[in-house]
Amino acid sequence: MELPLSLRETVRGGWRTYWSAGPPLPFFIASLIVALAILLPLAYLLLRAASAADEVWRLLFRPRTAIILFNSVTLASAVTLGAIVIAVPLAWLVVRSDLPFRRYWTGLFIVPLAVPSYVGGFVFIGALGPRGMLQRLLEPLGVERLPEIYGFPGAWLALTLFTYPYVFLVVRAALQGVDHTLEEASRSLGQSSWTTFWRVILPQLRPAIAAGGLLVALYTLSDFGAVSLLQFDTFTRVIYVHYQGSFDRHMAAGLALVLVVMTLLILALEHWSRGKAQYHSGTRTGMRPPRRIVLGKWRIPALVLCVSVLALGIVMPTVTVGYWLFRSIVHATNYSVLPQLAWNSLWVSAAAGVAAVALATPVAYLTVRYPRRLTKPFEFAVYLGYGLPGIVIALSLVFFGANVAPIVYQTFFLLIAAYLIRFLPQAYGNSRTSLLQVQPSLEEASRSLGRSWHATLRTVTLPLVRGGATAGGILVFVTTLKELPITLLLGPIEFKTLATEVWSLTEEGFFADAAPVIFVLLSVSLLPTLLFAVKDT
Amino acid sequence: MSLNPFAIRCKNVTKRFGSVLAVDQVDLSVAPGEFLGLLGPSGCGKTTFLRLIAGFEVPETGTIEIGEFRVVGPKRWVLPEKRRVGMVFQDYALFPHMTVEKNVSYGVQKRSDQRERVSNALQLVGLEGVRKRMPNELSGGQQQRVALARALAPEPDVILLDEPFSNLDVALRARIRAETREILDRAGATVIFVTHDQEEALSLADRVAVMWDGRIAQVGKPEELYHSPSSREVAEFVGGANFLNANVTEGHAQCALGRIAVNGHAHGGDLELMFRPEHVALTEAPDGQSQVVAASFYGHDSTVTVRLDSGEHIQVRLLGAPLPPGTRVHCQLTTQPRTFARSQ
Repeated sequence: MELPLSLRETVRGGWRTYWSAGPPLPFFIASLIVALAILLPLAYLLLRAASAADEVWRLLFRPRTAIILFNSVTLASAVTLGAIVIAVPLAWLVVRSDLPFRRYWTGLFIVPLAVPSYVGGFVFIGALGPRGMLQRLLEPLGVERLPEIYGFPGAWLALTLFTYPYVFLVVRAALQGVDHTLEEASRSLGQSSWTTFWRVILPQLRPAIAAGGLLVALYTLSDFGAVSLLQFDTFTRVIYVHYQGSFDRHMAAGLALVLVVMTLLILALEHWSRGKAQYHSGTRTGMRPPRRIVLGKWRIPALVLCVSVLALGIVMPTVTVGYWLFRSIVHATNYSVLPQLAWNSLWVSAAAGVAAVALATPVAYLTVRYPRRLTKPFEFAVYLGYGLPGIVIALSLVFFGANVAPIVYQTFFLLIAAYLIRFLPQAYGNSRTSLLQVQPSLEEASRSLGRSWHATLRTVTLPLVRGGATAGGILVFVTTLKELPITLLLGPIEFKTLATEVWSLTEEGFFADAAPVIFVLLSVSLLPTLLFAVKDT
Repeated sequence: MSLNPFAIRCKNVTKRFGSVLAVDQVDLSVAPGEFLGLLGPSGCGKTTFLRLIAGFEVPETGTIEIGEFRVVGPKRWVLPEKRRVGMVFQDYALFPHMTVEKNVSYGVQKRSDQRERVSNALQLVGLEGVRKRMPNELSGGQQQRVALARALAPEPDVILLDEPFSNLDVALRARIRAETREILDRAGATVIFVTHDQEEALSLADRVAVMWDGRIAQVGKPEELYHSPSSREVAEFVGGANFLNANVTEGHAQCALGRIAVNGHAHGGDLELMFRPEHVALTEAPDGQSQVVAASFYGHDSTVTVRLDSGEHIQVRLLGAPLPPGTRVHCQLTTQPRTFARSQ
């Protein structure tokens, strides 16, 4: 048989064979660019701070810094504790008890997750603030002043109420994974169900509680929307104030670095707790469904707990937004700006979603198919931005853009780059998961059937990961839609989105104007957010 | 191709993974149309060797020729898609998003006779009836045959099968093995198939290569391998084996079974004798020095463990029912045993 092969196109020599045999080289270069783009601005922030180290230290060594640190730590701890206290009993009731309407509670308990924190801020100020709904309703009765909602109480309540679902979801999943033969063993050894819960179940849930709690702590530490609206001086709010004042950017940078250090500490804790949690989370096959515990006389208190959580987490927001929406209709607010806001939000978010998938998929391919010691740095870079507070990313890009790359400063390019740094891991995670399901033998089969690596990618790999990658893109789209601090700091002049408009109208007390914007924002983002939250656990 | 005595020729092929030597200086040739079994325990490097031929791994040293074409050599490494090697994977690797027909036509697209080739391949494996189905709608045996048809459709020079029967039910396995062999014979392909199952290798292959720790321990016809294993390891891996200590002088061995004639070129001194369980004749003897200590009945045959007066134990295969434990017996070899240097 003659050989239909031209030597030049088929034969490669030397060490390059390994790279030229498949996608690595182009993908490697793409991943390198992505990683550098993520690391450069952050490195620049560090360098700047280091070059002005003396001044930064002088600024940081002030009583005021200690107060901010104290506020941030107190708030993060209090919110975490509050979320755990609410979420663990709810998760247990839903999974293990004979609570009435169990099926519906789970869905309802996670709804607050979809409420962005600045909307949470709106709800608390709009309902309980000095010119809020309650005040207006009570005015005819002669009530002049309500208890102060601004500061710690408001921020704590708002954040607890809108973050407890993180703990709820993780603990619920862990509870479902608990092997109840252990529980039966404890009962057969003569322990009551109460003792069994404390000595057998709870210890097994501890890693999940820790993981969920640290997630809440991280969220609280990086939150900007609620603390800024409720005027509680944590790092994010003070950084923004200093940035806005623009006379004191060194202070903003210094505080941002302290926040980064705290975030890294929490991330390390989270990582450590997750490593320990792993062997607890396995669901064995062939497990019988758990026996439900009869609540008996505890049924009423249990229902009261559930109803109160829902009253604060769903009913109050709905009523507040509804009330101000009604007022805006009655007072004929000008809605003409809404389409432009919606369009702005939609297109930047869509651009971020598409770009995230396009950039994350090559990195995911590399980390899935090639040795970890080679690809670990890329994965680290991708996940770095996820852990950092949005305001820190925004600030580092502001510095970078203003000083190094003025050509992109205050352009959409830089704005979308910031979104990507923050949300790329969502697309990466989805692409990675679906790539893991494509066995390498499928690609090898295609190669042995005479197809080149790019033909293989086009006809086998991509069709199989398309679904998962698209889901990742939608997730990035939805999260970007709700994003606030990055858009505030990096948006081009006069560029407003639904999120920034809700925030600035609420801050100035125009609740009736903010309500329709919130309505549009939530009607787009509510459902997908919930679906993704449930899918992830 | 008929002028070329080799369909595949590998010389001095070595592949490392880190510090592990997966394939160690392997030389192996396969004749056109030959059906070669590559047998070895898991982790011996046999799958890696197959992947080196297919082009999914790059070896450190060595040359590989497929037909007259050198695909691996100094400064030469041909991409897998240019090698004309068909591969059937252990998990079949059927494209889950394509129908049976699309899977089979994947390797012959843009050819003028595409439809004909797909039909021929499907006909060969007897699956024309399911061409519009998706892979997940097929049974394990059908999936295996689709994988075979897909690999055959481009009419490759060589077909590689990686543990092709390990994912099948035991009940199905024997039938599918025979069918596969028949299909591949009709296609006239040169085949290397990898297996860890010695029975599968012996019953299916024209020649078997036993691989051990990355090296080829022995290559030969199945009978040769079984009756004249080249080493203790091969003897143990291919079928059951008994070993007895012996002292050899002048063509005779003194061991627990008495004085036995052995192969002339076995050199003197302390050696080990190897013989198969079916090569021992047992006779009941009340005054015998040996005793049955355990017995398992399998139906058409049975295996008994006999303790010899030296304290050594041997396995003996009997047709029909076993002798009960406690029975005193006399043992006699029915063939000349192999001799190996004493281990330890």
